[in-house]
Amino acid sequence: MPDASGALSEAEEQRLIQRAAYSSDTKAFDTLIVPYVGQLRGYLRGLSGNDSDADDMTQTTLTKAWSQLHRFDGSGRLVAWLFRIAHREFLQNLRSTKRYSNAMTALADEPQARSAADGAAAAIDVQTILASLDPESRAALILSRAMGLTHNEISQTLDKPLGTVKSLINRATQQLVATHEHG
Amino acid sequence: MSMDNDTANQPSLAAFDAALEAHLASHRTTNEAIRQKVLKQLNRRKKLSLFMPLAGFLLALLIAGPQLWKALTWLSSALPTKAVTRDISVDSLASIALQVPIYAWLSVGLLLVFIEIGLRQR
Repeated sequence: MPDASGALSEAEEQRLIQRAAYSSDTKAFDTLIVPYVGQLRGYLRGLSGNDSDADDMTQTTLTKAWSQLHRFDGSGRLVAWLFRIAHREFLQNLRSTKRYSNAMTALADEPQARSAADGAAAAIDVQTILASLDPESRAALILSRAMGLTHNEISQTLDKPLGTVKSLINRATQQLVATHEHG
Repeated sequence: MSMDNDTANQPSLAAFDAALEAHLASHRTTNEAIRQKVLKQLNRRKKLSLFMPLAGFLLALLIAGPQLWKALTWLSSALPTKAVTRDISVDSLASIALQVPIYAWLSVGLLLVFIEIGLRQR
């Protein structure tokens, strides 16, 4: 059973993975993904800058995860594996459509009244900062600062060497600090 | 020097982290809607994965069954014991001999294709 925060114990997660992967138990899969849907959507929203694209890509990510769950070897965290699928989905979406650049352009023009949740943080124009980064730096920054992945996990997610990932994060961080100071 | 920079950047990074978290947070109902859609899609695929081999079998039976049955019936009537007493043309025997494996492979192939489609739904 998930705890109060919605996280599953490792043993419970393993049991659900077995049931979902080898017994095609959709309920087990559903329980398994509950803690991660929001994170995946947040990640894809940060990358695409678009709510409906993020919703679509999250759905596709989860259905792909269902199909490929038997390939998950348990060597890392499930969340990192899910982010890897999500990232590939984003890249595929990026390649197959030209919507990305349009979305990013629209993003920059979007009024900064997204929701009350932005609250006090509204002073920082997150969308513009994210849009100013290249997709890889943006992905590394989000995974590192918002999703709590380790550098190793980010390296696996983005399929980049560890050194490159560290450099991407460092550069993105410097850029956002500079943007914040000048803003 | 680097540590000084990091320390100096802490407030702006912390503020960015808070803003980023708020920016990426999605409403609970949105997450719930995505989950429901995924679950619905998975259940549909699960049903399809069970239905496909059956559909393949039925289709194979429908397409190849009558021909296969006809060929086998004809062939059984042309067994060597009877064939010696009947006037069986070599052409029709060759034609039947060709039809049996063709239809047999066709039905097996169809069945396999549908099983594969069913498995892909999984």
